[in-house]
Parts: sequence; C-alpha cells; structure tokens
Amino acid sequence: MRTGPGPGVLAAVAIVAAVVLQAAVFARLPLPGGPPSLVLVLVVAIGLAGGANAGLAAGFGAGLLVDLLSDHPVGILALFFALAGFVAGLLEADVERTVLAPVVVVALSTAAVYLAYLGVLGLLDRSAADGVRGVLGTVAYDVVLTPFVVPLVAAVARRMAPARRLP
Amino acid sequence: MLRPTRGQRRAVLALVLLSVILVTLDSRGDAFSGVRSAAHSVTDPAQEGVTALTAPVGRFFGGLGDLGSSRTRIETLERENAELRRRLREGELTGARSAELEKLKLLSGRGGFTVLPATVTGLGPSIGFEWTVTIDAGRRDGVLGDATVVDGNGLVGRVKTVGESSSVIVLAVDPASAVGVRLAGGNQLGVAAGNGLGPLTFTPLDPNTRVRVGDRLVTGPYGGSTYVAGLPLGEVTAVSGDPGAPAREATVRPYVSFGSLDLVGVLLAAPRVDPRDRLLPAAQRAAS
Repeated sequence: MRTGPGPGVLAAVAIVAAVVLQAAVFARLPLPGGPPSLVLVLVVAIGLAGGANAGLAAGFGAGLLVDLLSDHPVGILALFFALAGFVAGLLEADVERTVLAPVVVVALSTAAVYLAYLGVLGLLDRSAADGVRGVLGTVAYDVVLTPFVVPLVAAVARRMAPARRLP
Repeated sequence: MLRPTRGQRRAVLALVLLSVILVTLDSRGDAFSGVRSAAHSVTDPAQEGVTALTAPVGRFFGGLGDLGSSRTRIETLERENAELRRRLREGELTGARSAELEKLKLLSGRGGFTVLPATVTGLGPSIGFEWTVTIDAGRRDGVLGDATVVDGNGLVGRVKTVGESSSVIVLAVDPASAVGVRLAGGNQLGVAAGNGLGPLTFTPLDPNTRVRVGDRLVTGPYGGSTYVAGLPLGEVTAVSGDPGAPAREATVRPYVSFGSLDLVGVLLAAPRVDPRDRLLPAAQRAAS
C-alpha cells in the first residue's frame, strides 16, 4: 500500500533537479579541472540503492537529458550513464554495508564514463573543453559529493521499499 | 557482484544500440534540434531561477579564486599609494622648507649673521625634562656649544650639547630657560622665562617699566646672556598685576612656533653691533 509518488517518479524528479543544479551551480563553480558531475553521482547512487534495472533506466534518462541540453551528439552520455547505473546496480549487494565502496564505485564510474565520453568525442572529431585533465577534477569532486548523495538516495529508497532491505 | 539476468542483458544491449543510433543520427545532421529546444524550454526557467538564487554565491566563490591575485594587486596599489603620498609630502615639505629657508636668510642677512641651516630631527623633552630638540648639525659642521639657534621668525634656543654630527638645543620655552630681553623701541630690560609649550613670561627688571599688550621683545644683553642680541622673541599678549604693583609680569607669545620646528639656523658668527630692532617682522614694526 504505497502512498505518494512512486520511486520512478521520484527518481525522475531527482534527476531533473540534479540536471538543473548541475547546469546552474556545479558547472559554474570556478574549480580547477572539470566540474563535478552531480547527475552521474545521482545515477550511481540510484543504481546502488535500487538495483541494476533502476540504475540502467535512471542512467539512460539522465544521460539523454544531459545530452539534449549539451552540444555533443545525443546518446553518448545516455549510453555511458546507463552503463554506469547498471554496473552500480549489479554491485548493489557488495556495496551495501561499507562506507568506502560507494566512493570507489563513483570514482571508477566517473573516470570510465568521462574517458569513454572523451574517446567518443575524439572519434567524432570533436574535443571537450577540459580534456583528460578535466576528468581528474571531475572524479575528485564526484568523490566529495558521494557521501552526501549516496546515503540520501539509499535512505529514500529504503523508505520507498522497506521490504527489500529485510532479510 | 550480481550476475545480470537475461532480460537485463537484453535491456542493456537494446539501450546500447539505441544510443549508437542516436549518436549516429545526431552527428549526421541536427535531427534532435526540436527535442533539444524542448528540453531547454523545460529546464532553462528552472535553471535561471536557481542561477538567480546562487549567483551571489557563485560570485563569492569566483572571488575566492581571484583572491590571491586581488591581494597581490591590492598590495601593489598600497605600496604605490604610500610611495606617491611620501613624494607628495616631500614636495610639500620642500615647498614649506624653501619658504622657511628664505625667511632664515632674510633674518641672517638683516642681522649680518653667519647662519648654518639645520634640520630638526628629534623633537620633545627627550633629555630629562628639558624642552629640547635635536638637529642634524654638529661639531663637524662648526656648531659650538651655547651657540644661538634661530629660525626665520626669531629665537629658538641655544645649543646645549654638541655631538659629532648632531646637537641638542634647549628651547627658549624650556621652563628652566631665562632669556634676557629688551622691549623693542626702548631700553627696558627684563627676563623672559619659558613655560613649556605655553607662552613665555616676561618680567621687567625695573618694576616701573610700562608694559603694554602688543609690545614686542627682542633678545637683550641682560645678565651676560649667551644669546645673540636683537633676535625677535615674541609679543606681549597680556599684562598681569595692578598698575602700581612692582615687577609686573606679562605673557609673551613667541614668534617661533615651538611645536612645529623644522628648519633652524645655528648662528656661527654675529656682528658685535646689536641689530637693535631691525630684525623684527617688517609689518609689525610698521604697525607700532
């Protein structure tokens, strides 16, 4: 007997909010290296909390939205965000009870996603502003964001589906 | 790590294919311009709202980034400012000093003195409780002990101790100092005693001397005074005591402003002839 919006709706709202915050705030922070990627951290957090299907769907949706709002061809980040969310969802069981694991997952996902993104842009004869050096910054900032985003998403997910967490 | 189920694998594969198609379509032309603008029309208002809220914060952080360079810039400007201010002050001082020097030359020329110009380097009751100043001229420059010191306006004091390149001068306003004086325009003698930075006190030798407000005093020969005679000292501003009482006292405002001494002259030589009243300021002499 669930009341209020379902997890899918909540996730969609969270993703749109993250995209807006990303464009309005995080992308504008005058930090060295690339900007933090709140959206990717959120996707990984949804994957870790909700499983591979949730991660895949959230990643694809979020990536598609970011693609549409960016200059690069649509579909690149949709693909990589979806894969990142999916893999995070597969790692769900391993990550659950440790503090460091989400950080490692976020760091690896960010590095993999943005290196792959740069690679595809290179194949398409385009270049990104910050290049590979920027990826380092993005990874570092995403790691910093992780302790804020992942537990929050996990807590919301627990409230949405308490039965999942019980043995 | 969980193994993906068959359905999940299919979903991933489908999404990968979909993405590749999307990328291909989009990099060939702008197939998605309509969707892009739609997406922008949804998120832009929200983005603007958030930006309006966070712009000050962003500017703050932007400022933080510039903080280092701002600080060095501020420091550079401050240094420049101090330097310019110093030059300005020097210019003003030079102007003021040249005027002072002019007056000093006038005084020494009229009195026939040989004057050694010197700058006051230390001011105030520095030695004991005497009112003294230190000047940047000493034995090397020919300064002798007890030499009279003047500035363009009149008597300053006398040399107390002579160092190699600096000297200490006891000011005429030193409370222990007594200057033998003569009322200008006559031969009535008296003593002007210092009161620190307050006005001098003039006590005539002859109790019957008539002292009036506006009378002017020059240094006189009284008591084998060590001061060169004929130097302007000050002007009577008040007379105390009853007219009939003996030894009336008068308050004398000195011509020299002892609080702001800068350029002074040490009298190295003076003619044997008393210049009498010739050194008094011209305008005031005309008025009397």
